[in-house]
Amino acid sequence: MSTGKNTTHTLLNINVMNKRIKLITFVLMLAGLNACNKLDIPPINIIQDEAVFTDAGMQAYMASLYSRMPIEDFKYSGSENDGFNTWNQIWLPMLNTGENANRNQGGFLNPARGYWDSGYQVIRNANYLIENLPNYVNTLTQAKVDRWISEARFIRAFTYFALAKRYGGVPITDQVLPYENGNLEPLQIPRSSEEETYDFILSDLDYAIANMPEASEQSGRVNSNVAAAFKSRVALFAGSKARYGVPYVVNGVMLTGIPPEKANEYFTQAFQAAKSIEGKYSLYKKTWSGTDKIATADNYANLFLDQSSPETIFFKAYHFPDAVHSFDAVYSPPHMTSTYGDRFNPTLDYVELFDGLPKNSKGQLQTTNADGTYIVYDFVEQLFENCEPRLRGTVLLPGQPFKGLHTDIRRGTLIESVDPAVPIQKFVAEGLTASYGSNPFYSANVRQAGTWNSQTPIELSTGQKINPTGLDGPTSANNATVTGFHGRKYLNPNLEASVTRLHESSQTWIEIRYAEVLLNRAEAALELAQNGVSSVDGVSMQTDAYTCINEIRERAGATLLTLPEDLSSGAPLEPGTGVGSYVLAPTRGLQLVRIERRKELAFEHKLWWDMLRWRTADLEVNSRTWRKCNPFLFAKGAVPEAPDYIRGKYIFDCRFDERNSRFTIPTIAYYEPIPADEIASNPNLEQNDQY
Amino acid sequence: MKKIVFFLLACCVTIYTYAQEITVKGKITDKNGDPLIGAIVKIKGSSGGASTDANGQFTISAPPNSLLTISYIGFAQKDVQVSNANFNNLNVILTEERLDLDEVVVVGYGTQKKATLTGAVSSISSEELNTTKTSNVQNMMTGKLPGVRVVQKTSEPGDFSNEFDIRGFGSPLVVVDGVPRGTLTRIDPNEIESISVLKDASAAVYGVRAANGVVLITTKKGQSGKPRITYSNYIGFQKAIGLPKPIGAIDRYTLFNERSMHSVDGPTLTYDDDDFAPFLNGTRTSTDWYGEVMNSTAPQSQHNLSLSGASKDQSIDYYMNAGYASQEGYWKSGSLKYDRYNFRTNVNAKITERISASIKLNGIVEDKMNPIVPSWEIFRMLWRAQPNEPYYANDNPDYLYKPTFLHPGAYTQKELSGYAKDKNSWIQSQLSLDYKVPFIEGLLARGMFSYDTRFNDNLNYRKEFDVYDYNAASGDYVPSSNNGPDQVRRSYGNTPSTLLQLSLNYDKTFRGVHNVKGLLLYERTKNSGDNFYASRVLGIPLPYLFAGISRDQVANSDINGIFTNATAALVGRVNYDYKGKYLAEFSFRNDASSRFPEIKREGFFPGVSLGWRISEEGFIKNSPALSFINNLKLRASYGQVGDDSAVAYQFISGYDYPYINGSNSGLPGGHVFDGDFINSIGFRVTPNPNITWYTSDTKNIGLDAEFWGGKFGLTFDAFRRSRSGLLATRLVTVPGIFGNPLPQENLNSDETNGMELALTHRNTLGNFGYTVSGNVALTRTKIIFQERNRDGNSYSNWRNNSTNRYNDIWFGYGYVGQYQDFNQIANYDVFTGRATLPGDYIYEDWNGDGVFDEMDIHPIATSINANSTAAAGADARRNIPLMTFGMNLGLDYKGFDLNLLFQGGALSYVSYGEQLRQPLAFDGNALDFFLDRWHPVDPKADPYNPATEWVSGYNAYTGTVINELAERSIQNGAYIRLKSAELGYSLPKSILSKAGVQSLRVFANAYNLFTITGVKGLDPEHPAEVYGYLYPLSQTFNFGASLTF
Repeated sequence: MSTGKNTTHTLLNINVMNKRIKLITFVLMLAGLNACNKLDIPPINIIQDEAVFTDAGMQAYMASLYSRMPIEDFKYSGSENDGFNTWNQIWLPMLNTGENANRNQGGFLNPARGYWDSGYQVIRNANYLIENLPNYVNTLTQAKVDRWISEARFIRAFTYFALAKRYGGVPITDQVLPYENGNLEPLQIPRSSEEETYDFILSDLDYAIANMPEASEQSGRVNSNVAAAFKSRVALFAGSKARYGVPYVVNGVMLTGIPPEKANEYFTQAFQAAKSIEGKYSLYKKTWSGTDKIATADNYANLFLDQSSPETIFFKAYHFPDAVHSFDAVYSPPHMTSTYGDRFNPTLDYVELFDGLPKNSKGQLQTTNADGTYIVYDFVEQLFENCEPRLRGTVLLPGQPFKGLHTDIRRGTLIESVDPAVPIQKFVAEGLTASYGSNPFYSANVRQAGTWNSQTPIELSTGQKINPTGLDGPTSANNATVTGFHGRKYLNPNLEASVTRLHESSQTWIEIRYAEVLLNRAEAALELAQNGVSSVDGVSMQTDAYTCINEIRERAGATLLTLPEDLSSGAPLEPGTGVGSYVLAPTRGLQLVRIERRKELAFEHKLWWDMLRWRTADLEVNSRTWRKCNPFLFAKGAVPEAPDYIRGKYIFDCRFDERNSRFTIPTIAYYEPIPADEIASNPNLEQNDQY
Repeated sequence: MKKIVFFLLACCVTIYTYAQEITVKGKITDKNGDPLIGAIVKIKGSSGGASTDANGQFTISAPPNSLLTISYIGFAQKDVQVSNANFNNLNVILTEERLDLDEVVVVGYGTQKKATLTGAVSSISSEELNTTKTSNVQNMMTGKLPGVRVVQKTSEPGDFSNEFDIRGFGSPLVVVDGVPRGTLTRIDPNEIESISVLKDASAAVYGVRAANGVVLITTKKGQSGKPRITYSNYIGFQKAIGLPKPIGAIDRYTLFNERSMHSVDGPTLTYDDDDFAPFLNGTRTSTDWYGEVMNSTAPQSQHNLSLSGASKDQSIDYYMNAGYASQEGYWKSGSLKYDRYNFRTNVNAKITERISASIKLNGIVEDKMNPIVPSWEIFRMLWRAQPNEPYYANDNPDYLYKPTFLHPGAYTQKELSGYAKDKNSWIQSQLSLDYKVPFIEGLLARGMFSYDTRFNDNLNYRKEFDVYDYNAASGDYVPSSNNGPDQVRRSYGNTPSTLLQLSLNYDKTFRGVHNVKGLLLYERTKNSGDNFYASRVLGIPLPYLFAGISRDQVANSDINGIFTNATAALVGRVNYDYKGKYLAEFSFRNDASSRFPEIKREGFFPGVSLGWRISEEGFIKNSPALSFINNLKLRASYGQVGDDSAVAYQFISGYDYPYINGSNSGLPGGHVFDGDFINSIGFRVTPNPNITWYTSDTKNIGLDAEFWGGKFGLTFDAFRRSRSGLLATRLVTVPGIFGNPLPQENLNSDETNGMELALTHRNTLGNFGYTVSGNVALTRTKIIFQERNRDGNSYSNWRNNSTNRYNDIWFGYGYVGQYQDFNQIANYDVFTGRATLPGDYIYEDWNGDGVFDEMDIHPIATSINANSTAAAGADARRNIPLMTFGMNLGLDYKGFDLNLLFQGGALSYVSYGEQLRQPLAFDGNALDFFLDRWHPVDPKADPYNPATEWVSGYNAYTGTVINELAERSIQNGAYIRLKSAELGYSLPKSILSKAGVQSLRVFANAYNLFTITGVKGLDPEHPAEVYGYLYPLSQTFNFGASLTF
């Protein structure tokens, strides 16, 4: 281990070494000083306008703007990120409207998520483009510059509309705001009135309509027809706010609400915009049939999945794996997905809006005889056999085939000793929230399970076994469905259950489709017809509304209106007096239009906003408990045909949601509060009413 | 014959020396009889001397009856009278004495004697460090250095995420052998010679990176004398502490029913007798998810082989070490395992009289095998897994059951779900040359160059597996695929960095009284990083890219990991002392960083410190009454340091391309046009052309004392650090309609105050030696200015304005107690609501307005995470103690040694979320401590019926969730624990030497042996972050030996 010898050897060479080391040290010093003499190290991934305002760069710029548009799609939820771009769709405003229910939310869900900053970021980035792109005519072309600017103005309008829906009038800026030397004054812009805000949005859209071609340069981008279709939505909102809104004026500015005299003007714009794209799009009817209800139902479901649908006007596409959502995994029925599966539960209240079901005088599903005993059905699908095809295209009903499986919906099973021939009295009287357990007959004769996927089967006298509860619920613990239904709209029917996973869905979200434009048109027309404008541009408003509604109904396979006068200006049905009577409206005609809108546009994140602009939300959803429909199977005579399908006699019990969840929409929710930070940082910014 | 010759010879010698000098022979040993090698024997009043050989023996010629002075470092000097009786056999036993004064302490760019040190510097030696045995050096420092705060977050093998700071400042700069290196956690503890911690202006020589203090690690060098080969090892096992247990099926059903009965509008039973029956009658048993997935203990071990020595003429010394450490996790499948290999060679060579060179090479390779999901997620699964759900569908081991949440068993098994393998390696090399400049005595020129690099080599191998629903009715197993598709992702990166130091060092004493030291140093660093990754969906499940298919294949780089930055600095320092009595140090550093715009690039950081050794004054030195004072020193320091950790390039406008913060499941980094995904640009924050580092002023006053020959020592420090120009984003004061995020600006300021006290006591009573040392440190930070909006009203200002307020104020609700019965509820003077039940928590109506609401929030605790942007939530609740303390007790007796380290923290509070806050969160399961609750005697009774009889408990009736801001849910995280205990036995050298062994020590060691705390069910260090799911801390028991040849 000794290094003594080496050392001696080294010492002999002192002089040589000494010189060498001096040299090396010197070289090292020089090298070191030179090599590291740079502290100006440029960044690796920062580019400038010159690179961005080019053909390729504009794709990237616009990809940023389009991806940040506040589209309430599969990734819209009340959980985070201003409500946008989250995968976990638990808390949605549609839980307040009675379209949908789930076990995660047992009361009013305040959808106020403070969408503000990210909206104004989109607006700034659009403004920057509008201001600066004209300087790059030489690198692009005038035509391209005009088109990109029009698109930017559409996106700006779309973003302002998202703000206006939430806050009413907002600060308007159409230029890049300066912030220099800490000077906040240029940024302390007060709110415009709601009217001015809508007018600003409409002017941007008018510009876009006038300056864009009719066809998109690339699919997924907007064109003049998209702008017109969107304008029909915006103007309809403005008209409704004028007619039904409650004005709130601070310092002479009507922050929310629009003067009522403006209503007809906006409804006219809505009508004209909708009418202007007539013939450019059509309702999807590829497999529609006047006779085959199933084909018509599938046609309706397919319109949301068919990439070549003529009904689609504006959409947001996804692309695995770069941009995905989780709609199938989270929203499929439990036994049709690898995870979740308890979020998409249409309420019975919603289902009852549809035609072709037995109903009582209140407009509710009739599943009992006059003496209060249950009607016994020979098989589970029988109750819904003749329903309006659109219902089957929107909702998965008990026993409905899907994904090569069947929805297996059963609250419990009556034990074999119970004979279907012997009438059974309704377990819990209509209108009560009492639990089934309070009924001794029920406790003695019904088998049920708390979880759908871990059940103790009932053994039949035939030796066969059946589950007491369906694989898709409803369970006694309110797992799986809490309403007795699952949703179908937008679900991919071809995705096998075992591979229905998170972050792998890529269906396109249809933000605007022609059916909505027809409904906008019908509503605007009827509002005009019933408020003194019988015709616009030579078109009869009453007749036009009638035609549009029937066009929708025909495609839906629903019962058609017989006469334009069916959309009457007479009194609406009082709640509890007929089908859809809980849908509030000033006239029977508008009630029918609103019911149609609900049926057609449910689960598309539209109805919450509709109920706000109609100002019916607080009255309609006031200490409301949604209703459900529980199927029960008779073990006697039951024959399992598939793991998720048992042929046998059924009864259906309609009742209040068993969680006893009550929903009330407070009037404060008509507008969201301006975020507190904004009020604090801008002394000119006034808060909304009641906050 | 021999004896006679010897006798004659002895006579001759005796006669001869009578005339002149005699030859004195003897042996110097310690109290155990072990020879002291190299002890100095001097004749008093003469220049003659000798030193002891390898057997501790010496021979010296001395006049008869002369006085010999025997000295040996670390031992008390002893004078021995030579006499006729002993001259031939002069056996001297020296007793150990450690005067701190003599210690040499490593400081920035040099060393200094502790006696003349003027800064607040704490240090520990290798031996002190190694009394604790863990794989992370930070944890070995716990409790041993006053002002060094270590909170261990997890014992997960290969996870080194601790809260580690100096004086509560934040993450310190770590310098290993003079080079900033981030490997403090991975160094082989056996390689460490000493650790110094610079806590005040003594760090100013590190300038712009030293705002949080500096940790200096010095590695070992070769020892003189006989070469030593040392093999040491320990083998032990780990056992989780503070790991709550989930409950069984019957309990879960019971709690679930309670929760649904807990409804004033309609109590219902979720699970009926049918559901309970199979568990009650034994046809089904609850699944013990822990038992299925985890082992109760996990092994760990460490082995080291080191060589240390020097050439005979001391011109070359060498130290070599090879270490291997291994630690396994609790998962039964063995999918969590950590292995580390450390290699080091340190060689110093004196090449000529004037030139010497040093080379230090260090290599670290670590291999971590992880389950495919992080361990915390597995704990989340385990706590959520329902005990009423089986492990296997239909108990058939061919089919994993599909649980409501995720299958923890599947995710711990690498054969099923895949794994993530992280292989990191570090190469650290440095060469330095010292040149003693001729003609100027005491001037030393030094050049040092280091090249370090780290390689990250990661493999993520994800496998798809099926779980099954068993349909008992039809007998079908219905598969659901999880974790798919099969995919492999490889990533590779490296981060080379270079450092060049050129310095002049000057050290000279003038006229014997003026001691002057000087340093002038130029330093350049360059750091860069590069990386790439590729992933492919697999055609055949093999953990290699080549097994992939073309669909969805990705090749890309992580832009955040591609960077280059550089710094340049000029450092100067002068130390002066007069007779070691009046001490002064001045230092500066001029730093320039590429992170900042040219105009804001350079900064000047001065430091000054002064000391007065009162003990050197005549009135103490010459006073017999005060002779017990070995040292008494007052010192004070002031310095400026900085921090350049701002996000780079905030002074440049433009766009990021591509937009890198996109996520495919959130806001994507692009949009689909014409069916293709087009990358988007990222809009950059508004540039800040003035961005620069923040500066930090540190002030420190201190007192060092040592009495009675080192028997008693004391160090006291009080400090203040004031930071200004802290980076903040003006987000809150600029209206959102501006539409662009703002850059960081140097806006905020704060102030940290604190103090430290360390006491030591050492003594030897015969064969029995002991050491007691204790330290306590206190730190607290106050916000001086925080960029924020003006408040709309005075309440909001009181509630939210943190200016001039401690940064750790935890606002919450006061807690009164629990309602005992309906009578109390009905008559309570604060409105309670109609759903209130006995056992529910009563929160304090603090403002006395008769309503319990948000206005009752007031300060109730401390230790909220100072850096949190949220007022509540897991990120805000950090149990980091403001007060830390440690007490070390060392005993040795006849070869036995015992070391006990007590350590603890106080002024810490913690509140846990999700499943630790409430039972049945996400309808999953509950942890055992939730069973201690209020509930009706009859589980089916309506709780709202006033006649219902209740059983009381610690928690409220299931369904009442504690307010997370209430005092009741905020637990005091104070604790004291026996952090480490080590019992060793060194075999007597007399036995060992026969076998050619220099020393052999065997030991048993325990870590986290016991803890005293008020925190319920969890370890007090267990963090609330990540919802409290982090892998638990562990208790370890190790057995080992150290053998030196």
